[in-house]
Amino acid sequence: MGNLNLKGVKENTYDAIVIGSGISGGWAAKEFTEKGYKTLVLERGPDVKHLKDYPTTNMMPWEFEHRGQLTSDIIDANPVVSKCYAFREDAMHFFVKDNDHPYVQDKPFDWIRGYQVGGKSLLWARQTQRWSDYDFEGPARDGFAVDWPIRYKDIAPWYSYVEKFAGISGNKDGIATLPDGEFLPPMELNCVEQYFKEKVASRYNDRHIIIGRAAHITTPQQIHLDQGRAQCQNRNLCQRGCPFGGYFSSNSSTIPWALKTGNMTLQPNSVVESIIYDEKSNKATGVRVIDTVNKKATEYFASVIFVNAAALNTNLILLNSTSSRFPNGLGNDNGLLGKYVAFHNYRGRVNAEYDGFKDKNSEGRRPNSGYIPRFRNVLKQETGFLRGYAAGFGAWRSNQPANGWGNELKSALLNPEPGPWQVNSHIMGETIPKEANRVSLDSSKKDEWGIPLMHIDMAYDNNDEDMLKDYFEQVSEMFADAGFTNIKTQDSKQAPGLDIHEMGGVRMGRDPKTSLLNEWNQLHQCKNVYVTDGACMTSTSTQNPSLTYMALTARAVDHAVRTMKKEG
Amino acid sequence: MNRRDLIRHMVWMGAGIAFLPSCVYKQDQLSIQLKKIQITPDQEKLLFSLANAIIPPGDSPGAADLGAHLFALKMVDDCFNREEQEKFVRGLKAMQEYLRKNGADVLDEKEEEGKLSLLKKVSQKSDNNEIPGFLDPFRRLVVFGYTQSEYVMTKLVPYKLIPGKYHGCVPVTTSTIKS
Repeated sequence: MGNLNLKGVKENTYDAIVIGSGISGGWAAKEFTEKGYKTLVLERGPDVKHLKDYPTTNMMPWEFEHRGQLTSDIIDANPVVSKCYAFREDAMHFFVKDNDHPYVQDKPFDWIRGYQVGGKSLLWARQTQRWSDYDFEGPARDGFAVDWPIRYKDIAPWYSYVEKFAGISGNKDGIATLPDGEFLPPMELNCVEQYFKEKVASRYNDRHIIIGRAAHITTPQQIHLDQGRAQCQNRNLCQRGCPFGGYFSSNSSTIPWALKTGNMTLQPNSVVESIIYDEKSNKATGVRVIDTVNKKATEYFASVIFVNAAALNTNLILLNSTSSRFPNGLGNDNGLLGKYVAFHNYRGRVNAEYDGFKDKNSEGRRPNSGYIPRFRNVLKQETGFLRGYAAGFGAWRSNQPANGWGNELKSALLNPEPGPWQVNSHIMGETIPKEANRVSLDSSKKDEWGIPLMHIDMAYDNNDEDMLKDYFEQVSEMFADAGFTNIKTQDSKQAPGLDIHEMGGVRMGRDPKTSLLNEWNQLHQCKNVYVTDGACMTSTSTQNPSLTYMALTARAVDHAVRTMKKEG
Repeated sequence: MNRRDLIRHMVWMGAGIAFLPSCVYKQDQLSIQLKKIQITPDQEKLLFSLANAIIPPGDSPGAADLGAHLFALKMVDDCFNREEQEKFVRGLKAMQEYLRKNGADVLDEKEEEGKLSLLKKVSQKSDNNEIPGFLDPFRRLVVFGYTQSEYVMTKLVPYKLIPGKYHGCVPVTTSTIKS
């Protein structure tokens, strides 16, 4: 920071800097600006404005050159991101292409990224299940990672706070493992899903089938109308960006809300190279940003910095923020930064058919499915593996295959008969964070902005394999019990990462010797830096994690604001 | 022209408008630009006749009238890997040779029954029959292109971009089909 232009410093100084505009960064932006703080939101990708920048949102199927499918050139050039279910002709422009942002896979890891304003909040699966104390107490009870520094009671009011604004549909199921929230009316289970729910309830006390709690506005409240959002229309084309704002994304909700306060400066195409640390004040003073277009570096300053760059990139920024005080990365006295990263095991599926309800079908395209909360090892350890899994569950009817040739075929296509009900489940398994699972910086290779490439070194372990086996057994048994037939299990063997639930590396904990963040998501060693995205997660549990990031973020901004007021 | 033929003719014209740019036949020239596979104008004519045999015209246009044979070519060109493309082109040539042996370049429009029994025959899988390597994916793509065409998705099996409601359990009717 040699010849500082003081006028430049003043122009580049804000109350708060938020790195990233995805699901958690959007919340940080909303909270700070609403409370009157001048906030700079830095996004490494281009801007995506709600409605205006959803180029495919109203396209009809026949308007896509390949009717949604990927070309072989795109698949060949993008072996990683092509594996993602949502990377298709209608939404591929919202995903990072493999060659644009390389990384090093020490072991196979499919890193799926969305570099744009809104990040992956445009693309997420919108499942929003709360954690309970069965999750927060997991590491302490089962002796892995470190104890979470918070419990359900600490986050519960913040779950309520973010749910009301975001709009979460769900049923009050009264299940201890999956606390109820501030729900809009639930979506509907279909005939076979409802039948399975009743079957399972009649046999098990501790296993439940529910409709997923999902970030869709089923009945808009005033707060949603105020955001310019309307009721979900069951288009199930969410990944294109929703013209109704029917599902929650930063683009439709928190970012325009923050903009309206007049307190937000949103700066796209700005990749954060590092956080600037000042030894005299023992604080971070700002960030060093590289313009992704002209590659010029600029420094910006603020009293508080929120790092919401998405789990692994948040690790990267902190690891790259070195100083004489922190030669191994900001706040990294204990050497644990980047370690104990984890993910969710999504490898297993169970498919089957059901012969009943032949005279019934569902109608429309529900952007949601059934959900089976974790039932393994909840009250006590009962299996040979640690922790457990949640599962998705859904049923649908496809049309009978149209056979033959000529008029027979034509008639079958134009007057399709529904085939048998298909049922399907997929696992969402908790993985145990381990020191060996880690991310680090390459010592020589850099990206085109001079930032070191990320090394990712993550793998499944025996616990994951044993859990997968149990999932297959239990769900197959539940399916057989319900009279489902032709039950088939399938292990995709997909690499970690494709779950898009990577977490950890900057974990929360009570003890600075064994964790990076305290109970308020502040770096133990540099208290005006907060990390509230997936990087902060001490353990992964089984729930889709975004709702928890939102709640932790709103809670942390509240703490940051109270702290700033106290310190004047 | 009887009434039935007249209606058929009018429907085709209506359907044809959407496909006009890609369906205009030029002498010795393909109707679409292909980047990877090589197809001759004769082969295109054969594909047209095949697509209309797979899904024939009647009260509504056939698959080829809606350009499904060209869509199939585009998909083979853009989305198939090289091995699949080679298999497709080899099988198409085999189909051509088979027809030529019987003194024809295309499937004759007049004999509906003859066409179908021919299709059934050449689609039989056997070690020395290369035709299924072409005809299986072509049939699949013609069906895909036809069902996902604007004409079918607006006039015959309407697609709802905005369904509005979801109903989890309703009696089976023709309107509950998935589109």
